[in-house]
Amino acid sequence: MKTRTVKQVTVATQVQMGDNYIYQPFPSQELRNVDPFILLHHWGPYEFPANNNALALDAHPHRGFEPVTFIFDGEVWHRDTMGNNSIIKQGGVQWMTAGSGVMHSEMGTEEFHKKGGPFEIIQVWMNLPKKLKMTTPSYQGFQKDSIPVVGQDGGKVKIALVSGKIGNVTGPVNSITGITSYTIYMDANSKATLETDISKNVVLYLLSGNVTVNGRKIEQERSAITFIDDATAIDIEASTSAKFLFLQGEAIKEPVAQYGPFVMNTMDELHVAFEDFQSGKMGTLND
Amino acid sequence: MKEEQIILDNICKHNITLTPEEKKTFTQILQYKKVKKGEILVNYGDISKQQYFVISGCLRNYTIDEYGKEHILMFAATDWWTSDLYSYVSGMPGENIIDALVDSEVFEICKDDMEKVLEQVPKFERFFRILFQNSIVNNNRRIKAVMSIPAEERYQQFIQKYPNIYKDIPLKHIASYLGISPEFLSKIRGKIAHSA
Repeated sequence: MKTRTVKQVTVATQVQMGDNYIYQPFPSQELRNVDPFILLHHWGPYEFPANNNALALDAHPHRGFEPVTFIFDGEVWHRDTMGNNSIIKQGGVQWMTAGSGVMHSEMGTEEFHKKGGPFEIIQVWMNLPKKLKMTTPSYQGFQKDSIPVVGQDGGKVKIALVSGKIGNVTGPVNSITGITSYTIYMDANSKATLETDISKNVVLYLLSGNVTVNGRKIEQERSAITFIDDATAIDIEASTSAKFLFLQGEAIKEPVAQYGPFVMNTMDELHVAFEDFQSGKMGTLND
Repeated sequence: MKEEQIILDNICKHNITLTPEEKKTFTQILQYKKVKKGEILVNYGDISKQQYFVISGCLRNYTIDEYGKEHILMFAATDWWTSDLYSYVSGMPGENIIDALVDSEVFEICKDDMEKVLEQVPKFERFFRILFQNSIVNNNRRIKAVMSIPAEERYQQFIQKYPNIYKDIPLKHIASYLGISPEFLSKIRGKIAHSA
């Protein structure tokens, strides 16, 4: 089967975020975004000691997009002005549609702060088209056990489907823009074949492992791999155990005005977002 | 006007001696402005064509990250200059916000006027070269401090750098400037007070 040609491999740059370094393959000078995906932040893997302050993102607003957190290790405590109070653990996902505006906090849990342990998450910002930017906010949180796993290569490859479809299996998240997203865990010396939609943009992010993607050796971990729209299949060979995040979405092809925690179409809309936040229209999140 | 004398003294401090005529040429391009606490002089996305000199009060030059957190690049108190230099130089939309932390008075100088004065009076070329040199040195020190100096020492440096205003700046803003949490800064202050 013909495979989709690799367009670009972008190694994440290190960015300081509070007390920790995080990794950001895009936006960067080399890769501005992969429409509709506008930001990818890879936190970890860290090994936090007891009495730590892991993930201290206290109350902050968002509007105009969907911040989505994939939890590879550790646990994240999400609270928001819609009244959600949700702890999601290793293997789960927190999918928030910020839409017209919401305040939320993302913190390590009290228990995790006390005990410490391994921690690794990825947050992706998925853009919303103009017609959905002011949609009603919502939150979908799913633990690992409600995310179906599709096996390949005799069980050596496990694909945990968060949103979209693989064959007749459907992910639990209802994506209002038709995003397909899943995490891939590969054992050493395994092979996977991913089917993609030729009309949509795909980004494959390698968290860890020595791998070849469509015949191209990926030299460094923490790399975002993008593709040309010339075929549907992606073949992966892993010589060590490997971990990926797969994202596929339809390009929105609209102007993007982004500053701080807001993603709109114009600067005027950004100014309004800040005014609405400052005047309390996005609500208040009490401690 | 005593406000003009403050900015002329600032130039003089950099070993530039101006004739009365040169002083007049310079003061003619100064726009005096009163800025209320919280008022924004430069917003993100603006194409910034101004330099600001602080006569009194204090300005804050900062950015906001994706998680809504403010990162303060500098405080500009009396006798300081500030601008969104990237936007000023490139003519592109900037990412910085400059607002007033307290009621302040500033002189605003527009780029077009500035360019004319620089051409007419080469002494001002020299003055702004020295100013920007100092700014680069300051920024390099700040980068080094963030990368390699413990927070407690960075706080001590901050006090030395802003001796007249550090007591008036809210703790959360100083923490943002130092890149640490307000809780951590409280601990540092407590430790310093205890050991004093």
